[in-house]
Parts: sequence; structure tokens; C-alpha cells
Amino acid sequence: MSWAYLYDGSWDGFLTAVFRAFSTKEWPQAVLPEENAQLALDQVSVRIITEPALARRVERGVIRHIGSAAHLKIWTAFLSGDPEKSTIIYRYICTGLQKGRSIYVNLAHDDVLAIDRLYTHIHREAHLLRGFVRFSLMENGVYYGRISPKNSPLPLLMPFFSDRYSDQPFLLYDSTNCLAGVHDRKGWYLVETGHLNLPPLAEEELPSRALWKLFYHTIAIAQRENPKCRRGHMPNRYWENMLEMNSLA
Amino acid sequence: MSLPTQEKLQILSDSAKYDVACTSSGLDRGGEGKLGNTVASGICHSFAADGRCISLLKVLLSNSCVYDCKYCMNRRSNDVPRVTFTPRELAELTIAFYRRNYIEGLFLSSGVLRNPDYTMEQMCGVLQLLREEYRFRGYIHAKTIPGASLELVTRLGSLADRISVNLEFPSEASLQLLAPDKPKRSILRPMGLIRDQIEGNRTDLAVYRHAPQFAPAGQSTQMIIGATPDSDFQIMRLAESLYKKYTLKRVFYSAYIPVGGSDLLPAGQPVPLLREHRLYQADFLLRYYGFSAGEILSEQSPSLDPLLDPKCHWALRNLHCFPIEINRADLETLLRIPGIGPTGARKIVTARKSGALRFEDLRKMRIVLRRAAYFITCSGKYMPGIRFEQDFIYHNLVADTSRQPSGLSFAPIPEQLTLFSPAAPVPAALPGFGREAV
Repeated sequence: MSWAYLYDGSWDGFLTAVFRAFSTKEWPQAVLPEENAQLALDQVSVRIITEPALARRVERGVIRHIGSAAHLKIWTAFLSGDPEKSTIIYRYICTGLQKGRSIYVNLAHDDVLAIDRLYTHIHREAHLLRGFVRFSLMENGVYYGRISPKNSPLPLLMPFFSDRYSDQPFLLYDSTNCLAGVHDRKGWYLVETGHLNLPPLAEEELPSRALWKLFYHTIAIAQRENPKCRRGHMPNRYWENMLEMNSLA
Repeated sequence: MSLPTQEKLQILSDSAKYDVACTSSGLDRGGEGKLGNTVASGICHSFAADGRCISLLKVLLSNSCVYDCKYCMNRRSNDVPRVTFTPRELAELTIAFYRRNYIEGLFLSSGVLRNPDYTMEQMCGVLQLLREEYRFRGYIHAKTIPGASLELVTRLGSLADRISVNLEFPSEASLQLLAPDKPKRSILRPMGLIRDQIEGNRTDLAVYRHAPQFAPAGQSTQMIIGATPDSDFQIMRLAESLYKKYTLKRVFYSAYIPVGGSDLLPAGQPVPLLREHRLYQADFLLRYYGFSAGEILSEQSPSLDPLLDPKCHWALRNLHCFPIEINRADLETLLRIPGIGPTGARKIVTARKSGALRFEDLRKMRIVLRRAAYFITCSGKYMPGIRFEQDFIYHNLVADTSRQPSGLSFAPIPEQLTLFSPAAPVPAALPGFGREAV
């Protein structure tokens, strides 16, 4: 018989589950968000009640015993869209607390490899989206952009875009996670919402789009067309939100 | 007779499409409450149908030109419509694109309007408008105009992040033949000036934190490959001296595409992209791997091998430096292994602190062994199935077509299995080690 911990899907909920694992020494085989959780036949599930105070204790413990780089790594990996992510991060914390800082150099350890895969994937997606997001100017002066990522990169994208467009109110909507990032010149915050009520486009929006599409098509060297190379750098799944590509998506 | 912006953009971006620029400049600059920032790694905003990244709004200020360079489609004697952006028009277009996250900044070049100084003044006008009126802190790459006064070059450098002077051709003879209005001196003098300004600026910044910056992303240059008979060895030696003497950040190579229609140029077939690709590979060996041009090529074998990348080629000619022991070699030595780059080498150096690495560990760490396997040992052992012999390695590397760039085809090497006689020996001057052998 083995344990599976179910938490509410939040960061604090996950850390509370980690706390319980260490305090009860039950060492669960899986840590899962309760929504859509699939258990193995022999697993006994325990529902974890989120307690922010315990979550902070786990965070402090990770920073003290492994280091702040590990804390940043697990925080980032938690943004992953991988269904196994919580179990992978939990294992990394267990190994990390056992081995301490030496976990940073043990790159071939299975638990480290697993979390590095998540970490690299989320950073790669965020990096690509920094370029691929397209904003449209709305009538009310707000710029609106939409992404459909595999992970949940908004917490990585918002600081970047709010530094870049500090004088420009904008809204970046993550349709996968129903999450909206709002920047209002003073700062940014996230809002959970399944539905957006968008005002009509500003008058100058369509001419700008036309100019961009024109530029996009002019800048390619016709003698060197290479769709495979383009797809490699800019995978198809991003095309639906890129206005120069969505006629091809 | 002002044409709508649309038509101007079409003509002026079409003329700029052969220019190469990249925003991975190592320059990180925050927004500080203004519009725009820059990122050290650079950001690609889109990819064109030819697979090249689009990161900057790449345009000419004007395609009118008083020069008559044979390779250029904007040369005076070519009959094409001529247009010029007004500074305001171009600045507004840049800002409109930037605010929508279409671009990372502006790449500005120009044909020569009236005279070089006048053109440079116009270009500075655009940049000044962007930086001062629109408070734009994004990336700007500007081309200097050959023959412009040094004061104007200095002014351009204080407004742009990167400036470049185009070398156009790899040798002076080619330059004289094809671009008679651009003497070599008019190209190298501003290059030297820019280098001195950048260095001087570094000292100023060390003393006064708020000293105005000069071209913080450095300078680059570009040359056309294959329109002239210059060899790869000449090109690599030139690039090496540019990196050393002029501390350039990048040298860009562009394979020649016939657009000029001049008798002096090879007509018909464009230069194979593969040659450009190999030159870039060799260029990276110079910049990131501690190689020198003399190691990669020589007078005797002056062209890069189309079948093998330059590092494999070097390794095969220098088998006495191999095999390299993964668990002991230092970083510089690891960088010499074909198939292992800076990321992989650093991973190895870090990971082996926790214990000796096996082939299995390397594979788990996603270090690609396809090429490296022939040249390394882990704790003194070769990877199973590897024979450390020149012809064995050569045939296996060439036969591995999975990573060969497209457009390259060659007959597979027939392999005769024999029990007693040694495999068909590879001649001392390995075949395929010169371009003409293919």
C-alpha cells in the first residue's frame, strides 16, 4: 500500500503536502492536484488542506538546506503544464534535503534530470513567447495579447513586458490556464477569468497590422524558401496567435 | 509626390532584406520607466518563409543612391522606383511595431542620398527622434555610410546600440572591381574609430556611471561570399583579424544571390547556402571555441569541407590530440571535441564534481554523442563499438546524414567487409577535404 497526496492545485497547497510528507514520514508515491487526479490501484489518497504558514516553513527549509537557486527552480518548475510535475518537484525536494548543495552538481541524478526537463521547457516556452506575443490596440487605449501555452508562463512574462512597456497599459491573456496578466502603468497582477469582454479595436490597429504583414512577406528571400527551417524555429502551435501566420495556421 | 507609407515600406524593406543583423548582443538594459528595453540573449519575434529570424524592423532610409556598386540592386544605373522615408514617418512606424511586440527595435541602413554626410545626418535625425522624443530604449542597429565624416559616425554611435560598417567583399581587389566608390580606407577608418570610441567609452563609464554610452552592443560587419574568387581560408583569416584588431562582436557572411545583373559577377546559380553555413560554423570556432584560422584551414587546403563540419575536419587531421578523457580534461580541451559545445562542456565540468561520468550519464545529461563518441573516453574506456582509427571515424561521420544540412547529397560510401586485409585506406590527404573533391 502506498500514499497519494491530493492538494488543491495551488503552490501553497503543494508545499503543505510536502510538509505533511516530512512530518508524518508517510513518503507518498505521488503528489497530485485533486482535479483530474488518477490514482494507482494500491494507492490510498489523502486530501491535503492548504495552510500557508506550513508552506512558508517548507520554502524557508528549502532555502536554508539546499539554497535559493533550488527554491527558484522548484517555483519555476511548478509553472509547468506537465501532469507529473508535483511528484517530480516533491522528489527533487526530498533528494535535495538529503544531499544539500551537492545536488547542484549532480546533473546525472534522475530526480535532478526530471526537474531540469520541466525547468528548461518552461523557460524555453517563455523565451519564445517573449517574441511571439502580438498585442492589438483596443479602442480604450489598452493593448491586448493572447497566448495558448503548454505551461503557465505568465508569471515569467509579466515582469518582462511590464518593464518593456512600462508606459503602456496592457492585458495578456493565457487561454490555456484562463489567467489574465494586467499591467496598468503602476504594476502588474494576475486575474483568474474564463471570459474576457473585449472592446472593439482602435482605428489605427488595422493599418498597423497590414503594414506588419506586408513587412513580414517582403523581408523573406524568395529564392531561399525553407518552411521546414521556419517550423523548427517557430512551431505551428504558436501560429494561431500570431497575426502574420494565422492565415496559415 | 509623397507615396503612402505602405509602398515605401515595401520598397525599402525589400532592399534591406539581404542585410544581416542579430539582436543577441549581450546587452541587457532595463526600461527605467521609458519605452523599451534590451535583452542580452536577443529575441526573435518571427521567422520569415526562408527560415531567417525577424527581430528588427529592417529598412533603408532611402534607396536612392549616388554610387554604382555592381552587386547592389540600388546602384545608380539600375532602373527602379526611388523612395525615401521622412524621419517622422519611420520613427512612428517603428514605435507602432514596437508597442505591438512585432519587433525588438530598428535596423537602419540607407542608400547614399546626395552625399554620405547628408545621408548620415538624416539617419541620425531618425535615431534622435526615437531616442529623445519617443523616449525609446529598445535596440537600434545602424549602418554607417562609407565616406561619411568621423564626427557623424561618432554621433550615430552615441544614438545606436550597435553600429556596423559593411566590408562588402573579403579582399581589396574584389572591392575595387565591384564597388569602385568605396575604397578600403573608407571602410577601415570608421571601423578603427568606432573601436577606439567604444574602448574610450568603457574607461569613461568606469569613472562616471552616467557617461553617455557609445554603441554598447559593439560593432559588426558583413561581407558577401561567393561573388568573388576569395577562398574560405582568406575569409577566415580576415574575420580573425577583424575580431582581434577591431574587436568586432560579429562578422556576418551572406551567400551571394545574383540580383545585380552585372557582367563582372557570376550569373545564374546562387552560391550554395552550405558554404555560408560552414563559414558560420568556422566563425563560431573562432569566437567561442578558442580556435585560430590557421588551425581550421591552411594555404594547402583553403576551403571548408562540405561533408564535414570544420571541427570534425580539424579533429580528424589532429587525431594525436585525441581521445580526450571526459573526467579529466579542462574546459578548453573539452571544447575541442566535435559535437560538444560550450553548454555541454560546462555541464560536464560541473557534473563530474559529483563523481566520475559514464557514457550513460552523458547521454542522460543530453550531451549529444553522435560525433563526440569517436573522440572521447570515459574513465579510460572507449564507447563500445568504437574503433579509434582515422578511416573508421571518417566514414562513420560522413555517412551520418541525419544532421547534414539540407541540399547536400552525395553517394553513400560503399563498405567492403574483409576478414584479413585492412579496410580500404583513406589517402593521407583525405578525400573530400577540399571542395573540388566533391
